[in-house]
Amino acid sequence: MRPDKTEARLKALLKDTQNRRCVNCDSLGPQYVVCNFNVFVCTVCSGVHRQFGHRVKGVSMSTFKPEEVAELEASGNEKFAAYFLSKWTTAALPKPVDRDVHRIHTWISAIYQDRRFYAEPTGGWAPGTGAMSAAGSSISEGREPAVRPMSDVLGSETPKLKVQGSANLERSVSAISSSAGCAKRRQRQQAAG
Amino acid sequence: MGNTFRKLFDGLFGSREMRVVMLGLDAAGKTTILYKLHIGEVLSTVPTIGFNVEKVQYKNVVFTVWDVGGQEKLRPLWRHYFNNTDALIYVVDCCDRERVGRAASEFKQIVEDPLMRHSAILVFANKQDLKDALSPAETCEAMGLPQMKARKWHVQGAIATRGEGLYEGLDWLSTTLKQMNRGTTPAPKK
Repeated sequence: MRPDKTEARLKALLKDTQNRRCVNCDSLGPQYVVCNFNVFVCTVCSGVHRQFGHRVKGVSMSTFKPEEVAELEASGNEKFAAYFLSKWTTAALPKPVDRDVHRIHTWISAIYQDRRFYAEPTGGWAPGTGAMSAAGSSISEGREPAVRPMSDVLGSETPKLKVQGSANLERSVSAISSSAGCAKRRQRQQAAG
Repeated sequence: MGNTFRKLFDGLFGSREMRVVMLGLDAAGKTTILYKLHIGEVLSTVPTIGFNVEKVQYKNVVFTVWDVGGQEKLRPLWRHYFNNTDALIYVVDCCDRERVGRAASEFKQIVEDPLMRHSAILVFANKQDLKDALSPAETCEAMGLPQMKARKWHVQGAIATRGEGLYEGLDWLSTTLKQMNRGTTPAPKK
């Protein structure tokens, strides 16, 4: 692969929503990669990472091999958070959002060295399933969510949905959903036929 | 008459100025060394883009130390700092065994440059406090120094964060540069 193409892939990764902020301190536009963990961090945090002997590379002033970029593509800040921040709460250890070097040091020591909040995510990890993913982004486009009767989801003992002031419109929830499902299926059969 | 005496006096006891360029791969510890020497403190450094320059006085020598960023794309710029340098300080991260070969090839390129042919070479084998670090002797071997007979060189084990070995290195530099009669005496103040 040509080096300029590798560079373009790396630049694209920086624009990815999950990598738009430093994984430690949330500051915008991180420009450094911590190679040991495949995360994007800001300049201040990159300096502190070096104190721990982590290998840090600048996005614009270092060169990356295609393999390294591929690894970054497969992970990034979101995947890191899914594992290393899986048990983390702000109350347990506040994020060093003020970019204070000592706080960042404490943070890296707890999260990366001691792995205090590390856990395997239940059911494995896939892109977009982490807590950090933006709402709605996990639904991939072009695929329609499967239609299931409401009784499947809520069970048979569904309370009746009452619309106040109009006794005529009283219907059970399951009835609405199943009839809607049927209507949809009928439409699709017509479209196919 | 007075002027002649002053020249003689300055030559014996006055301070000399020496231009030193400090190079090495990224994260070797160049900036940490520079600020440890300059203010005696360990600062939290960030990867250098461009350069830092400070004057460091040791005994009666004033070193003007240029610390130039070491990331890959900054390395082609190193040669712009070669002109008029009395000495090269090359910093090696002795824990980074993976990149020792790379460090050696960059080092070779610098010392073979025509502009650097007459400079003294001080190698700091840094991060000696970390386990599994290359010893100064191993670093010397890895950099190919034993084969370099025509040059003045010295390998100094160092721990930049504690300041160990740094002044020993400067000590060697100042005596060597005096022997080589390098450096300039500053113009007398009028």
